[in-house]
Amino acid sequence: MNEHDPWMIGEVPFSSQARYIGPLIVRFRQIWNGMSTRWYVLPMIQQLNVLLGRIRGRFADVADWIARVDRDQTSLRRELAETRLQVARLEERLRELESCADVGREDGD
Amino acid sequence: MRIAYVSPLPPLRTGIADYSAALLPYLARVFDRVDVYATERSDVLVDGPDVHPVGDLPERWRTYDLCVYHIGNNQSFHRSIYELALEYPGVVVLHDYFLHHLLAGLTIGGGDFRGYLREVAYARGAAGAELAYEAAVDWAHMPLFDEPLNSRLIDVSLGVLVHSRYAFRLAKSHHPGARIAYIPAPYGPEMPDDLSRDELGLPEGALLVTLAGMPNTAKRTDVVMQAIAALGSRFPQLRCAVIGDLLQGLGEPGVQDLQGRLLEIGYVPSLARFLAFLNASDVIVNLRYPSVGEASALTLRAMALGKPVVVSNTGWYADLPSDVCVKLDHTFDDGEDAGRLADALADLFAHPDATRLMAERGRSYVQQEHNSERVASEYEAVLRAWRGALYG
Repeated sequence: MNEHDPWMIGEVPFSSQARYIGPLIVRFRQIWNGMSTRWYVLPMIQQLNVLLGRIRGRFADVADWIARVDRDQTSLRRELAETRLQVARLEERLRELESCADVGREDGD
Repeated sequence: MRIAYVSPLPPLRTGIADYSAALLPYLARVFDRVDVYATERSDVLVDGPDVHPVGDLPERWRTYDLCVYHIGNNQSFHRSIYELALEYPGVVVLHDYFLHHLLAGLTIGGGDFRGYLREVAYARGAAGAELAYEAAVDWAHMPLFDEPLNSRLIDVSLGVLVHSRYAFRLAKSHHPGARIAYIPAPYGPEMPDDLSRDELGLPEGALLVTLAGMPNTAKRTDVVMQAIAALGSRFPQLRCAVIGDLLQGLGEPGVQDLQGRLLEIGYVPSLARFLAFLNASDVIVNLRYPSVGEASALTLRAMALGKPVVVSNTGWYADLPSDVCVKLDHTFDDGEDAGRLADALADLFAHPDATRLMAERGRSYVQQEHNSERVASEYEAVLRAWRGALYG
C-alpha cells in the first residue's frame, strides 16, 4: 500500500529489528535488491497501479450510476406517495358526493 | 385536517418523547384529528389523542392528510420510524440534522456494510462510496460530523421541519427545492418539585455547577471536569453535580482531579425532580461540540427556570441571543477549552447581578420563543400550507 494514496501500491522499505547490526542488514538488502530485483519489480508495480486506477475509475462510475438510480427511485417514491394521497382524498370526496346524491334521490322519491 | 403523529413517547429515555408529550395536547387543539403512533417499546398513553403501535400505520396512512415522523439519532427509538418515513412518505421532523449516527447504526451496526456504502454514495456519489470503503477498512475516519446522511429522507419526504435556524440554513443550501420550515422547539410548561438542596441531598452553601444527560463525547464532560478542577483553589465551595450517566467512559484523571468536588446524582426518572436539581443549581453547563444540529431541551429547561447557562457557540446554540446565555467558542484542544470555560464560570460567579439579569432574559426568551401553544400554531400554519400545496 502507498502511504500517500491507499488505493495505490508502492515499494515497501526494508527494516530490521536486530540490535546494532540492523542498519547494516537494511543497507545490504537495499543494495542487493537494487542489483537483483528492483528494476524488474518497479515496472510491474507501475502496471499494477495503472490497472488499479482503471478499476477504481470503473468502481466510481458504477457507484455514481447506482447513486443516480437510487436518487431517481427516491424521487419517484415521493411522487407516488403524493399521488396515492391525492387519490385517497378524491375517493373520499367521491364517497361524499355519492352519499349526497343518495340523499337527494331519497328526498326526490 | 387529520394528522398521524409518529414518535417515541415517555417513559422512553429520550428528549423526543418528552417533546411529544409536551406538544401533543396543544396539537390536539389545533387539528381536527391527531392520532399518535408510538414505537413498540412505548406503553404509556398521553392524555388526549388516541395512541396506536407504529405497526398499525401502514394500513391507515392514506386516511391522513399528512403523517408527521419524528426522527433522532438513537436507533433503538427511531429505527421503525425511519423505515416508515421512507416507505410511507410524509413530513419529517429532524430533531438532529445530522443522522449519520442513526444510519451507521442501522447499517454497519447490523453488519450491513453495503447498506452504509449505498447511503454515503447516495449523498456524495462515487467520492462517498470511496469514503465509506476507506472508513470501513480504517483508512479514514467515519465522517459522522461532516456528512449528515439525511439526503434520502429529505428527498423522499413531503416536507421537513427543523428546530434550529442553523439546520434550516444547512437543509436549504443542500436541498433548495425541498419544502423545509423552521419551527422553534416547544417548551413545557413544566413545574419542578418544590425541594430544597437539603432534601435533594445537595450541600447548602456550595457554589453548584450542574451538567446532565447521557454519555456522549461531544458533550465535552472531560473539559468541564478540568475547568472545575482549575477553579477549585479560587472557589473552595465549588461543587459539580452530574445528573445522568455522563461520567461513563470518562478518563479517570478527569474525575480524580476534582478531589471530592464531584456529586454523582445518577439518572433521575422523574422530570419534576430532575427540574428540582436544575433549580437548585447556580449554573448549568451544557456543552456540545461538534453539534449534530440538535435543539437542546436541557438548555431550554434551565433557561426557563431562570438559571444561567453556559453552552457551546455552535449549531442551534450559536443562534441563541448572546445576552441570554454564555456561548463558549471551542477549539479541539481540551486544555484550551477548559481554560475558556473556567474563565466564563469565574466571570459568572464574580458578577452575580449581571448573571441574574442574563438568566432572567433567558427565562423571558424561552417563554416567548418556545411557548408550546405558539409552536403548535406554527405547526398548524406550516402543515396546512403544505397540505394546500399537496391537494390544491
